[in-house]
Amino acid sequence: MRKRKGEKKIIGLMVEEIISDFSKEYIQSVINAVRPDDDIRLIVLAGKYIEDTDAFDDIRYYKTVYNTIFRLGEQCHIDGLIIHLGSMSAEKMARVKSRYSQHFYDIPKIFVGLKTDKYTTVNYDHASGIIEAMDYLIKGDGLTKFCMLGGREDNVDARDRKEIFVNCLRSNGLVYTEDQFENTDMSTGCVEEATALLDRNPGVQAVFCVNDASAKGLYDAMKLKDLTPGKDILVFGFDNTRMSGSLSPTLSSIGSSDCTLGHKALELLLKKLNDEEVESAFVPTRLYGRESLQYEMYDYSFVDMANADQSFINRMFDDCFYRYKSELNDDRAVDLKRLFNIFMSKIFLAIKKRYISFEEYNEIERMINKFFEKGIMEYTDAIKLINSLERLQNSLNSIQRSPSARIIVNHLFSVMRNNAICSIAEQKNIEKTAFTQTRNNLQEFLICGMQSEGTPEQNSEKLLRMLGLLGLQNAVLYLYDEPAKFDHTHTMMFPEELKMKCVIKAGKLYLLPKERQSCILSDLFIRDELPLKCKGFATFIIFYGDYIYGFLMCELAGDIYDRGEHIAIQLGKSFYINDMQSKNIIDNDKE
Amino acid sequence: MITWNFQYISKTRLAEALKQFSHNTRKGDILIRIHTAIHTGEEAVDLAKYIKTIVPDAHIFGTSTSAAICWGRLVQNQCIISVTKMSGGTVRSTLLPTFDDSGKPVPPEILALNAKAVLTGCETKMLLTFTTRKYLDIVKLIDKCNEYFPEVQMTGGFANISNVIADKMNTTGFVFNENMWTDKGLLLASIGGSELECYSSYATGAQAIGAECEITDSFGGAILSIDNKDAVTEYYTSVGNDADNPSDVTELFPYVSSEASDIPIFMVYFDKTSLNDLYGENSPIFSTIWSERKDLDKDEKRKLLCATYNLKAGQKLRRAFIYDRKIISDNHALFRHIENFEKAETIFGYSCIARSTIYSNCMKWEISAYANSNICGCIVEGEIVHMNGQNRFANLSFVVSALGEAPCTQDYNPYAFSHTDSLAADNQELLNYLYEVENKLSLSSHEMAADKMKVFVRDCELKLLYSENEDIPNAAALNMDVKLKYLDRICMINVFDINSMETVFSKHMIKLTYKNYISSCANFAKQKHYTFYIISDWQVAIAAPSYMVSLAEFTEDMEYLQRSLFEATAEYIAIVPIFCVLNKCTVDTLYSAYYSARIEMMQKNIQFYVRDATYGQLDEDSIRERYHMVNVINYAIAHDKVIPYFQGVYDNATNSIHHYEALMRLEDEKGKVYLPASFLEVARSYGLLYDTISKIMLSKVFEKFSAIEDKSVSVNISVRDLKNSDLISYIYDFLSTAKHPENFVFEILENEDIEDYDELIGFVDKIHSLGAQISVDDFGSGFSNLLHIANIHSDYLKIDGSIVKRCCDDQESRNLIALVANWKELCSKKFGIIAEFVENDDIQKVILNFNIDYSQGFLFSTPEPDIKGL
Repeated sequence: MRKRKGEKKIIGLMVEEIISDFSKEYIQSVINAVRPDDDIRLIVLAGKYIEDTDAFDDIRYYKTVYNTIFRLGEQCHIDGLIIHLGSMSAEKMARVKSRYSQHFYDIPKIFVGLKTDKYTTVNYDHASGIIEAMDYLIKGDGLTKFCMLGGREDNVDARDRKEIFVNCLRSNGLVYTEDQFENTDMSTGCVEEATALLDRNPGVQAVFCVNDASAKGLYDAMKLKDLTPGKDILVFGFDNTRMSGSLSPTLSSIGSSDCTLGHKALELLLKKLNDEEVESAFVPTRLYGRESLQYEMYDYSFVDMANADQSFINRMFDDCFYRYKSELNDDRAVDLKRLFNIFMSKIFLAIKKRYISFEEYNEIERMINKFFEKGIMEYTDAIKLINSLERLQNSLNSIQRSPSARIIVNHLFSVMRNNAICSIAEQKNIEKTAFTQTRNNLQEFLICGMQSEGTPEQNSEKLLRMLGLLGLQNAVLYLYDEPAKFDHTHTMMFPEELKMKCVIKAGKLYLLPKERQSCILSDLFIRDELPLKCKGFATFIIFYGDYIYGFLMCELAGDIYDRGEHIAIQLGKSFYINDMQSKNIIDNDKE
Repeated sequence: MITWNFQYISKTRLAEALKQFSHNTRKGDILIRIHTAIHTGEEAVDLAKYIKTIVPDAHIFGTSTSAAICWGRLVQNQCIISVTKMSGGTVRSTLLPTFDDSGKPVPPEILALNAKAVLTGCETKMLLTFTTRKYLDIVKLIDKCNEYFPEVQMTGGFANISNVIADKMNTTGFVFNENMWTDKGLLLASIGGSELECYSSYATGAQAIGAECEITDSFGGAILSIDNKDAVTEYYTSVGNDADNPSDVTELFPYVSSEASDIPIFMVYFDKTSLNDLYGENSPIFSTIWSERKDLDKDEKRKLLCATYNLKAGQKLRRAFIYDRKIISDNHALFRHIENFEKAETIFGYSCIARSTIYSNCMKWEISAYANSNICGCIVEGEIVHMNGQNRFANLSFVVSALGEAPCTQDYNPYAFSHTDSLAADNQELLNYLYEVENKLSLSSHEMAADKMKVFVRDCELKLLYSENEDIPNAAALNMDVKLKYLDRICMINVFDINSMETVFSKHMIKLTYKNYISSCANFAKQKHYTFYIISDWQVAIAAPSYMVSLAEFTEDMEYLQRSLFEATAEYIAIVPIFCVLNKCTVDTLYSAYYSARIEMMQKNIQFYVRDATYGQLDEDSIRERYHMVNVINYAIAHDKVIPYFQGVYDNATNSIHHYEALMRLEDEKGKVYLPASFLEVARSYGLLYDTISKIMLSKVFEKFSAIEDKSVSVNISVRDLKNSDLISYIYDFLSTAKHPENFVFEILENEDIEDYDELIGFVDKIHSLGAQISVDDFGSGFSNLLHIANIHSDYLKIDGSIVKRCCDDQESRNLIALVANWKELCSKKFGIIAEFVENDDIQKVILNFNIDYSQGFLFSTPEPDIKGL
């Protein structure tokens, strides 16, 4: 492969799947770790998890073809790889590895969520968060009856978490039997397993779920039994995904405390690419308390508050907006932490002085509005924020003595709360609009595809033009002249020659003229035509049945995690139909 | 009236001078003022006596001082004598005791009456008054004088003393005449006459702020309570200091009395001092005041705030502070009055010792405005000023009086008012103090004090931080806000070429444009909630904190502003404002980043620029490396370690070394050899170092080759060298006397920024006319202007090594070599082509293919300090 100097570094992210909450956030955390000056292009190669026990049915077949996407990691130019295949058992890993060439091994790699000495790895330090939670429950609340909703047997993280859970119980002198444990597929659909677990353990006081998705299953199971998480049974999950804040009641969850997995992995990979020595790393975890298990990470003491200490305000910020610190700060963007610090200091000072001027009040209000306008809600979940604000407000009210200042400060708090609620509502609205829009787009796309009266060439061009209807902002479509056939042996390689058919930049579709279309597979990720401003792309394979038509690369933004595969399927199907029709025309002509 | 100042050197010199003076036959009263910082009391009286023997009818008026004012300068450790001879007016003088035989102070009424008795009937207009700090009732005394001598202007104050003399005499200052010296006396000199007119005024620089307060208890000069609160605590908390452990800020933040709000009251802070320590109960001086206040605990060790004279309960005070712009404007007003006074035959000037402690440059600066006049006076500890027809005792003031009997003007130095930077620099300390106070304020636990304080600090800042004419904050305010409000996104806006604007347009038009420019920027900033500052005339800044605006938004706004300024209508002059947006600014990086960005912008001719303030800041290692390099260069210069190395240039026609190129090397004390790449840049940035090593290098090469007939040498000449007239004349001198000037080739670097081609061509022609040769070095390394190269009639052209190096692999490099070779063929004037960096046979083969005349490189010769066979 050619040496490329002074150009964008291509970093591949291999993930088991793209659609789960965990994956989305993990990928996002890598994107966030890319600084604006870094010349890096992230390429997500997401597959489908196949369990060995899965039946050999259509879905498994689909998944198998789908997973050929990983071949791109070998066939295309990539400078470094971050691989997170958490559920890959060691033996399966060995099996998979044997299919790859030497070249693939030479690419610098970081493995996430893998226990091995052979490679540089990044893992959660599961113990710190789980022990924090268990200690709080056992020593603090005196609970004795625990259960765990576990993961798949072959998932390294799941096994780890179980082991620590069991050790926690035993070291605290509590009994553990396998009855207290149930395996799940770690998805939200584990209601059945959760019900079984609850049935076996009628008096259970707290349940640890191996991840947030499985906690959703437990929630559903509890609902059927008319039990409320947080009241009847305390529940806590793992990964602290955004889902934990949107469940009702909100889910307490263990998550990274300072630095995310993705951040750490990218940091190590970049060092490796610079030929620096790197060592495997652990990312420490903490328990983030929410309604399902009330737990305060920090105490707001009166002394701190009365002194309005800077570090205290910063801690308060870290508590309220716990995602902010783990997302890399861009020094060109608005520094929200400092903004919070400034207006909070002003509020504290007002309380101390028992006076706040009208100008000052306006100024603070403007700051608060700016604070929310600049998207602070991205970094927290609403309920947690509102609770934190309430707690703070109550504490402040209890220490202050001037009624006039109190009224104004309380007003400022209500400005904050209103802002928080408004921005959630707005977000929901945007999501809803986007969802409708997406559905309409797809519908239009499908309808347009139905009318095919021109020549096959005209039809395929029309198909390409229709791509503009899908509402993608930045994307590139590569197609083979002739669809490649899926090869059932594991040595399947994609053909080298393909065409770059069209590019979507900032929502505008550009069809490439014929003479500029040709492209070789290894250049897939380094083409100059790729929109430059995108930090990364998700790559989707376009196929229908055995026929592989090409690849769609979409910017890692918006709801592409959810929609990408769906779009690819629709495209595949459209190309297939188009092909069939043109074949029919040809056949008809022959006749 | 004539006045004549001179410095006392010796009695003989003095006699000489005074005799000349008394030769002036016209009769008239004579006043001789002596301000000495070098005489003890006895010595001073001796001097006065001596003067009296020479000028028997002179009135001698002597004071001790710590420094005299003369010729618009402060003269330390000298004795200054000023002789004033009246044309028709009268001078009377008297020395009255201020304490009676029992040691008790003479009541002010009696003292004033005594003075009146002596001075009746001499049409007194000006009363020069000096006393000593021991007399605490000065305020009352002056009040009485106002009563007894209506319409008389007084000037003078407490005599001060230099440290040396104070050690010898154990006193605080004394006054003297030919009869006696005393530290308990009142020395008066009355100047009068029907023709005499005088004008007195003063400057302080004090700005009163905040509400009035009242002395509720005092003892002598000590203020015991203000508004019924402990005076020390009240004062220090009110200026943001720690009352328990105060620092000395009494001079920066004095009190003023509310009826004379620009006259500060000088106070001294004492810790662990009892009233008895300060005002000894047994001393007759204080016996009266002690008898009045039996209620006080005289031995309690406490913190005290004391003025230098008695203060009475009930006096209303205000807080004040002293800052540069007020000092300037006060002085300007004072200066204007003196300058416009018609009969300014003689100028007296008295300045308070404390002025030098507030601002180190203040005193020197304000006296310098009178540099060409006959001003004479001295440093005092308290002054008497004349304001609104009344005389007052004052502190911390600069007093100037002009007097004369006939119309007269003097030369002054009004330029002092256009050079006030030294004062502004002093302001930094005050600002720093205010920063600290602000910081402390946010942590302060005294709520009420903090509140009051905040108002006070804000008032100070308002005065300090706003530019003179408009209500817009200035550069100091920007610094402060960067520090305190974390403003870290700053756009510096500047308009250049004001001079050319002034040559074409009317002042009025420029003023209009300026107003529009400032108000456009200010309004835009206000609308966007940014802060706006006027840094200097046309330079302004708009700042925003990173917690309120992203860089992208800020930049976009600034671009918009720039466009809208461009698009100003025909009513104004079209200006080109230059915008420089700096991100991540701190107080330390702001200006350095701006200056370096501005240079870059000028060079590249760009009008809008965005950069990080941290960008281009040297890291510690590279700074250390630079200093190391400077040391190496200095060592090499001092220890003769600038060493020319010589590399042979191979003649491809004759297959022998044709000539040598001299290359500079430095050696450090360990013998390590440095190549030019490592030291030239550093040497250049310290221009003189570069000049020195260049000269050494040239002289060594000249020396080595001056006697050689058959070998020539080439040496590098940079553009900087061409500007060094010393070096150039050294070269010319050498060549004009050299035996074989044709043996010397000067290599001019092609890639340097050559601004003045005429100068270069002049050099080339001169070198040719002197018989030496020219080579163009590194041809093809910069973006050449080929016409320039063609116009330099060089004898050699050296193809840049980077081209030669790659000629085996790279067709483009070969093409370039071919181009040069073909060019030579076409030229009428022949020159030799040299290829450098010929490192191996392959390169040499290519070079030979193009018929290049000479090859230089490791293949043929490595640089050595010695040449074989020479």
